[in-house]
Amino acid sequence: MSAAPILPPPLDAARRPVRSSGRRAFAVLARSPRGAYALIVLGLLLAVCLLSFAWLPADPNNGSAYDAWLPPSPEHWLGTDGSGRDLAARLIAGSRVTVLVVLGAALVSGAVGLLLAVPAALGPRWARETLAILIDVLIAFPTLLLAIMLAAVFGGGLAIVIVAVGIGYGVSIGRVVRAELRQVATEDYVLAARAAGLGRGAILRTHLLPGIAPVFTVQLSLSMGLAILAEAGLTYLGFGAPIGVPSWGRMLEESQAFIAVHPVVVLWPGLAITLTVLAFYLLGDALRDAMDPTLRSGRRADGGAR
Amino acid sequence: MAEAPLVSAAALTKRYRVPPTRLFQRASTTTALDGVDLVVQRGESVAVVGESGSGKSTLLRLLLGLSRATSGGVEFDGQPVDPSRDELLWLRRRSGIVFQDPYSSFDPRRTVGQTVAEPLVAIGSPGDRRAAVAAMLKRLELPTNAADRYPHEFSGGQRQRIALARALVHRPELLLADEPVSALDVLVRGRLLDLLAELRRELGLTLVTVTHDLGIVPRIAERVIVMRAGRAVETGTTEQIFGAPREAYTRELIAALPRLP
Amino acid sequence: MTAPRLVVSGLSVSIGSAELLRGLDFVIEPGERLGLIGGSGSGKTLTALAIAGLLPEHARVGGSVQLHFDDGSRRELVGLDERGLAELRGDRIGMVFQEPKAALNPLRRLGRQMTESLALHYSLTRHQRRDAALRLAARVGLSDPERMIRAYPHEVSGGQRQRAAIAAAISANPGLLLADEPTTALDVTVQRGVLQLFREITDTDECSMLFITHDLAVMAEVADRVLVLDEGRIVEQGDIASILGSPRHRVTRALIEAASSVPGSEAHRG
Repeated sequence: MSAAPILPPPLDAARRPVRSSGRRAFAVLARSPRGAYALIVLGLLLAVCLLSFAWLPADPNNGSAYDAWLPPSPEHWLGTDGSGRDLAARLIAGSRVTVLVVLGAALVSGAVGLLLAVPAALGPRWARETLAILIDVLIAFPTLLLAIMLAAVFGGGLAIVIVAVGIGYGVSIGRVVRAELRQVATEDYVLAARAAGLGRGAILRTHLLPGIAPVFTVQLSLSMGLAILAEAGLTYLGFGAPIGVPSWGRMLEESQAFIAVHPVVVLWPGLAITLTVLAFYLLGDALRDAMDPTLRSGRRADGGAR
Repeated sequence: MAEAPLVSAAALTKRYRVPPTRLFQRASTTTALDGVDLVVQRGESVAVVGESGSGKSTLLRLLLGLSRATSGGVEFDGQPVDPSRDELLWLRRRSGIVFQDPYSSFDPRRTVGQTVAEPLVAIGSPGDRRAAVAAMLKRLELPTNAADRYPHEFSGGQRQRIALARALVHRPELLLADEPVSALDVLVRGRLLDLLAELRRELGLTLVTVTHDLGIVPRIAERVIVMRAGRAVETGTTEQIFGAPREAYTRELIAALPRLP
Repeated sequence: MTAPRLVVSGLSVSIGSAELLRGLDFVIEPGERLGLIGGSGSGKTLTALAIAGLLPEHARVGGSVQLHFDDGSRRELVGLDERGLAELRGDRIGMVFQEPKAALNPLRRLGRQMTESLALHYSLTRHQRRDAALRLAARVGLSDPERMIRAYPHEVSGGQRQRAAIAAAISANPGLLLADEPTTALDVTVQRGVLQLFREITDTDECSMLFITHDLAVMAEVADRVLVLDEGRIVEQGDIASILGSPRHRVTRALIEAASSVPGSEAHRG
């Protein structure tokens, strides 16, 4: 028997308006400092990316050698790099790669995670035990190594980055979601749904997947942050974005050799990456709190041991 | 000629595999139910009484086909209940269950209305579900806007009434209750048991209640089965069990009940 | 050493805008067993938490809770800092909860946990500690004490866990034992034994008890005097016989009604 709450439910529950849980979650998110920061930074990223298709302050790919290493000025807001290319333009154009990698990695890792977790948690015993071992083995495999192997076979490129990151983090997501799924599946209300006659597919849709949604979303936002770092790292090593495509990782790689002489040039892409990755981490953190339906409109029972 | 019982179980046994805790140990088995027979007539109310480890909750799950028996069988209205053979939707249509814990038996992400409507959705019943849910909530003396609220906004007693609403919204013939009032405040229990009795009359329910509290039995059941360690120790009418208990364990249970002096 | 007298006056607790306890006044005499009964939300658990100083941080407490020792000294508990409270807990005030899991760490053996309070307030050698554990185990009726003190919580039954939790609460011989629904989660046959244990422990003047339950029949087996709470107020108090014989308040009557459905009890009404 679980312990009843010490405090009674709030008296004005009957009078409070009912909002949908999605909107409520968003409202909570926007109010918390971490959530607000994340929403602002990521909103900015998206806005800049979309903007870049319509307008750029200068040509991000071409520059004149005479314009190399210029300091910030009205013509070049952030200055220029060693080839005379406008840094602001490169940064803005680079946001496209960031968004592409983030969305691609989210899609692939989310899909891999769910495809692994659902049979691993709910399938027949042979499937559960095999997948448990498989997940543990795959997690031990470094993502970077996977990316290099794929690049060796298929050549480098952003697609390789997305696939490698997607699989690498997807397996991590799979492990976390599997544990959560198993826990939710033992809840009384799932038994009640079975007793009501709900089929397995319907139970998955209505109870299990929504039940793991908070954990899944948090993991996904973490993997999106990590994907940016992975792209930067892989591009640095030569496996990521092709040379002609401006990306923040590419900018880091190019300016790294000159860091002693022109340190500020490293600063801009570094800052962009750091702030964006931080935003994804904080988003995950704030999302977890925002998505708990019981944390806001009333005190939850101290759901306890039986 | 006696009428066929609504629910019958014969030599019902359930064993679980206990995984080994050491590297070279063998897996052992634990027996939750050991050859239990049970017969429930239409319209009857039976109480299954036992302490922890008696197997009473396991029995309940086997009766509804939520678990598979190791051996022995269950029949509902003459038809075998075997979860490994079929989906048992026909049984779901005609049965409902109330769980013990009003704090964990609802999905916290779904509204009361969605939860209560679940059996109707599951069996694909036609007609106005919202109206059926509203009528049920009203009958259980819950506030009119309850359907749009979330379970955690209600007290324990109200939540058990919501649980009853869910169990009965599709007008089943059989209601199983697993410790329906154990988690409730003693002042609230009486009302819930009375509600249960009223609904039983109104809907012509057959009721099987599982409880560790012998004290509530007289308010809810005519027949009693006393269980211990997976076996049925004694069965009889409520009067017989309380007035002239045959088995020592039954007498021990009755004697241990705290009483007002 | 005689138990201290517990004097509570004007105790009130609020959280946010909700007044959960409204000016409670009562006394527990040395060696007395006082029962606290009421429906859920009446404030029973809150009262025990307020005495032990275990309320949540944002709770506001008013009034006074004093321990009067027989040497004439007094100790005010309301507003006492955590350090002062920690000194008292275990040594002077012991607590037993409804779920032994709240008191027992699943990763430590029972013997160590039972003597934890003792070891905190007195310095003991390993042998002394082990001896104390064995004596405590025997005192609370744990059969096979040698095995019990080496066992982990999950290896013993619910009743045995609760007995171990009681042992932990009384190990340093506190003068006041606070028990919050200690037998509610136990099987009825086990409950009997544990209630008997409580009676034995508090039979001398050395230990008083505040016993909280929602079941009047259980209360009748343990308490000398009873306080009936409703919505944060004491609505009736008196010795157990007069509460049962001539209840005045409707909550008391409702509680009697709820406890009377057991056949064989004199107050049974069919």
